[in-house]
Amino acid sequence: MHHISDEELMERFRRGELKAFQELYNRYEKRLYAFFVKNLSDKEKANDLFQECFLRVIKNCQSFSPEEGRFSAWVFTIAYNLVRDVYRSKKQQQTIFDWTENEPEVMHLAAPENPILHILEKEQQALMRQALERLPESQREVILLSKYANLSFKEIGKIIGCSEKAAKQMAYRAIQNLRLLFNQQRGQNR
Amino acid sequence: MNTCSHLKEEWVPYLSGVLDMKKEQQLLAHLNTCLSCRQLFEDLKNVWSGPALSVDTIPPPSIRNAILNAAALTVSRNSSRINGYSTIFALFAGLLATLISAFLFLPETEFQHLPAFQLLVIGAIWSMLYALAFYYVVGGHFTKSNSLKNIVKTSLMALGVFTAFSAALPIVDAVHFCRYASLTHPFFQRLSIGMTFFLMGLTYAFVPMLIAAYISKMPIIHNPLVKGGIAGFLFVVIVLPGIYLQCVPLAMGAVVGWNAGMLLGSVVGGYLGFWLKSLYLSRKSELTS
Repeated sequence: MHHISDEELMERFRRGELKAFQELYNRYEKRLYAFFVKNLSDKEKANDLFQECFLRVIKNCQSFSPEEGRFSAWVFTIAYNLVRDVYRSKKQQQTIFDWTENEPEVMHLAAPENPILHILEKEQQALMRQALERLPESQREVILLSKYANLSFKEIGKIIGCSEKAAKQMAYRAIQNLRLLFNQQRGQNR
Repeated sequence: MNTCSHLKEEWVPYLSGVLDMKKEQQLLAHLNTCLSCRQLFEDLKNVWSGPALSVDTIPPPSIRNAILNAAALTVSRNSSRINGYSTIFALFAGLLATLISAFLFLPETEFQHLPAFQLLVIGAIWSMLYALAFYYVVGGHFTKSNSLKNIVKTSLMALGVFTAFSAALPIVDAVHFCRYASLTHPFFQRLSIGMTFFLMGLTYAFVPMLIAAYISKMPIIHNPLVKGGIAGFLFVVIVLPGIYLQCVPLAMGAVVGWNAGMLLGSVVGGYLGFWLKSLYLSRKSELTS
């Protein structure tokens, strides 16, 4: 099934082929989950939204139309809207991006064998997360979309509601700011 | 606009692999000639592939299972929409099962001569027949060889569990009860004999249909033996009274009522199964959310 496109898999799922959905799930599991985990500091919330995202895919599978866009654009639009809803919630705004107090306890794929390297890597990750947390929402979203969604910037622009050029500029500013913030965090920790 | 700032916009598209060939060549050519851009680009490339943006996590298995179960349920619901031919098929399957049961038992007027264990095994086979017929009608997976194997596994397991349980039950007492006391019970005395058999037939067909619907629509491609075990156990617990009813001498009028009950059960049982399952899942989903 690896050579079949996402859109074809979706069509097969609509016709009742469960394996097609399983393949789709496998293709998007890590990237979508990363999108939620990096956007939200609350582990439970990230889990809930990840689940909700796929449930919406299942529920609305009949309304997906390949003529209107690719499956990846569709699914990441759902994910983006879910994250946006959380941002809009005032209550969530108070707890969101509190990485230091509520670091997500996510399952790591593999831990390095060398413990010193592991500690350094952890420290590095914490700094990077803090830098990501300090990015403006719109920049964080665009950089995470471009990293995980594998979409063209025309599609990303459509999701976030701006032009292709604006999306590219925002992504460039985001990654540059991420670098600057990371260096700042590192400077403060020394 | 100078080349540096113009091409910087294309850095992220390049890193994410969505830049077209022409612009990619332009970008690489520029990076080869512009030292300041190259240094900055290398820095940003490290950020891009660094831990802040790495894909290093997976969701808990329980979430994966919940999502795949929801997908399985959707597939089941969609494939269980009985239309034209399938309705006829369902009715035909119910009628066939009824005729087989009538063929097996009508010639026997003295049921007390049939060993109780034989009654139970025949009842179990009937139940499996209903289940398989129903699965065939609404499951729609019969054409896949692996599914067929799993159906056989599930069925054999269910039958095995059923038979094993049956052997441990006080069969003789139960048969004695139903032979002499079932129709003299105050509850049944209030009903006509036809209505009694109709209700019994409904129970007899309804429950296997419900179980078959549940088992088959939660795709038995997963854990066929576990699901077969559950089905067998449920048959023992719930269907047993219906099977014991076989020992009551049958009149033709009663058979008609019984058959009507079975047909009705075979049609509505499956739908009720799907409905109960979806209700359960939606409640569960509400609770978890």
